[in-house]
Amino acid sequence: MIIEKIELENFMCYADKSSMEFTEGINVIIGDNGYGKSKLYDAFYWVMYDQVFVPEKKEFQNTKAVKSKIISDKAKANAKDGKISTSVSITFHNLEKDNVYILERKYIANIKDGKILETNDSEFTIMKKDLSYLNAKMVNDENEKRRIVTTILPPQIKDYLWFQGEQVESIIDFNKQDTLTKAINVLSSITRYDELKDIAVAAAKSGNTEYDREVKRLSKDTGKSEQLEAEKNRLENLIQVLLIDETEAKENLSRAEERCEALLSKISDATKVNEFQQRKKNILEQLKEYNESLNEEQTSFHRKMFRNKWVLKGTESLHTEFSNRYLTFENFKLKKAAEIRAKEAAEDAIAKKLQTRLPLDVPEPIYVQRMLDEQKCLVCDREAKKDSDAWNKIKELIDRPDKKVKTANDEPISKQNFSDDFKRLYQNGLALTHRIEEIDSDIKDTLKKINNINTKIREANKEMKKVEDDIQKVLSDTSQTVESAENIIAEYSIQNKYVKDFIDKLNKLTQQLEYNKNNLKSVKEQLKDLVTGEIPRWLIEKRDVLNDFETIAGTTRERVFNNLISQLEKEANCHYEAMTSGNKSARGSIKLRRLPNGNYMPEITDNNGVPLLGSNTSNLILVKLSAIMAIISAKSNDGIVSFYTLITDAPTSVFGEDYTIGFCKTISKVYRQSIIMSKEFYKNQGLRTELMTNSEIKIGKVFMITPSIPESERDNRNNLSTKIEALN
Amino acid sequence: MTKENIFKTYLEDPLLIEKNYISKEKIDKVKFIDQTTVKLIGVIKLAINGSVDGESEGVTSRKINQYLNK
Repeated sequence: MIIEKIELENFMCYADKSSMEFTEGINVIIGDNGYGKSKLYDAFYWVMYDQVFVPEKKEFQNTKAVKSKIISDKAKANAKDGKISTSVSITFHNLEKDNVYILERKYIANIKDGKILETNDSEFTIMKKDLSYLNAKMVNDENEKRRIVTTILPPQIKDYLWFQGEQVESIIDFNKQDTLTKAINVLSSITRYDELKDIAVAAAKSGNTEYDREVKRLSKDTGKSEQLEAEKNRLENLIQVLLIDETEAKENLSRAEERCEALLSKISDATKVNEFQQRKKNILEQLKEYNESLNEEQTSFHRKMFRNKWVLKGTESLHTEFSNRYLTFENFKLKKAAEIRAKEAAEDAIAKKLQTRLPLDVPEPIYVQRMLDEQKCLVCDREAKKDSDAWNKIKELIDRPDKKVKTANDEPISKQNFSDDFKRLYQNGLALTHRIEEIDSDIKDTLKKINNINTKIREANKEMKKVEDDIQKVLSDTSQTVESAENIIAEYSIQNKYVKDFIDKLNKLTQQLEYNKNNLKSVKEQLKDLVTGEIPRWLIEKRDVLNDFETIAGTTRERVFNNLISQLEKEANCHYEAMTSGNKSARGSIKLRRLPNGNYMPEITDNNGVPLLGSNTSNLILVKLSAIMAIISAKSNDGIVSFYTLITDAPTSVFGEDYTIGFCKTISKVYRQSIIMSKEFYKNQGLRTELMTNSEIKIGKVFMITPSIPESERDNRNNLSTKIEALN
Repeated sequence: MTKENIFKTYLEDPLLIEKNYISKEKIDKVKFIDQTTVKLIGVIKLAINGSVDGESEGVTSRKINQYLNK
């Protein structure tokens, strides 16, 4: 069954009438963001399921809810009173039987006085051509209509065939334990084996009860039998409880392991973020230290002006000059002192000389004065004229100098005596002279130190910027936040602990089960020993056959399931390898790992089966896409999906352009027909050329869609329409 | 999946040979529609019939019980 055509009339941005015809192979609708790709996907979906995706609500809603919003704004703007409608029809062609189904959905609203009067629901019609060249007949039976829709797209595989790129995560959600189990159910009739297992369990239980009844009836000691029977029941109930606990522990263990597994892909990025954060923290601490040192240096820089005597810089000559002057002063002082000493010595000599001629006060001064007054020496009675030598000699007897006593009136050596101060200044200066010599190197050292700190601060800031850039890069690459990275690490550690705890609990439960099963076996043997006579052979055989049937039903179910898992794994790897073949960074292969509770988790492993850590987001999405394809392709015998069309909106937007061509090659090999909406081919002309010319891609029809008004200028959407241009 | 397919999957179980229900040589030749004297195989066929034909579990259990009581 392929889709031959879609016809749209006034559907959302597709104003007026437009259509696209498709062929086998990969059909591509190319358009940038906001060009109408998703609305085209909506058109397909609306016809089949009466629903469109409402971006504001992030969910699919029925026509009843969205009503005339699905009618193009241009049609609404141009409408006059009367009816206004939108319709989409899809033509499906079953090439094998050559019959054709035309599914059409229509929504009509009324306009009165410029207002839209909504109707409740859309109309859905199916026209069928038994042979493509015959006339179409309308299918009126509602059941038949439902059957046709189900045949075209079975509900259980719908999610794997028609999906939007952003839905890939939820379709194959590895965090949900039963994702692959559900997929296996889609793939196979495993539920049949589950039913058979249930029948076998019930039959075995019935057979065992019948056998036990017979054993009890034939007992030689009814009392003892009853006692043992009670013990048997108790042990069976206990085992039942332990089995429930064991199942629960396995479930918990699986959940914890799955969570660990899910976190494992993020843990390396989270650890990276955490390491960067730690580095950032260290750098911040370092910066704080540097800044404190710098502050300290800058503050002490001013203090050093005085503490380290930097203010004296350039004063070396002052000290020399002072020294010279001080030397001069000291010399002058010494000279003066010498002169005084000489004068005193002279005076002393005179006094001494006088003292040897006459004793002091001899003759008494009053007589000397009389002699001076009378100008006559009364000793020798000779005349002594005033100012004559004789008179002066007599006068000397009065004026004879005493031993000189220094008085305040003595002539000082200098006007002010700063001698001591000068000395201190000189001594201080002398001490500072050595310090002054060191000032330059001290300032140089200090500036060097400040410079070093500034350099360290600059380097730390540079490193900080790099770390912050790295953090931003990791965060944007991994869609994590600093908080979520911390949470991931914390949760990973908790889940790991849970895994350990649940393994311990499971071991304990296994031991308890073993112990109680042995006890039960022993009780059963004791009951058997009480039997008198013979248990009928047919009953023993019946019990054994039913118990074996129970065993076989269990193991067969497991074997079938495991085979399906292997098939799914093989198929998924085929698609994964094909999609990643052109990409060097893609590595490993998909391994479906069994969990303790029987569910399966996919992981990417290396050639030795060792799980690869840190697979990038694109790889994980490709694993999911591979699984989605495998679920459908493994169902067919040849791995080619012939009957169903893959319709997907922006599947390539979730991984890099490097994978786009690989994806298209794989799609065109796996699906007889696919219709994909993509923006990658809009932006990248080279990629578009490769899409249309690569011999490994079975290309169908390629369309370019362009809106009449760019998305940024759509305040008024009354003229919005979408141009569809066929590129081949 | 046909009754024959399911039946064949059950016959792949090694327990059938291990417990001498059927020999290795015969097991490949057994078909779902064939009559069998091997009670376990008979039980399997009854269960498959019941499941594929949409019988209730109770009805199938009774049929198995009657078959083994013969």
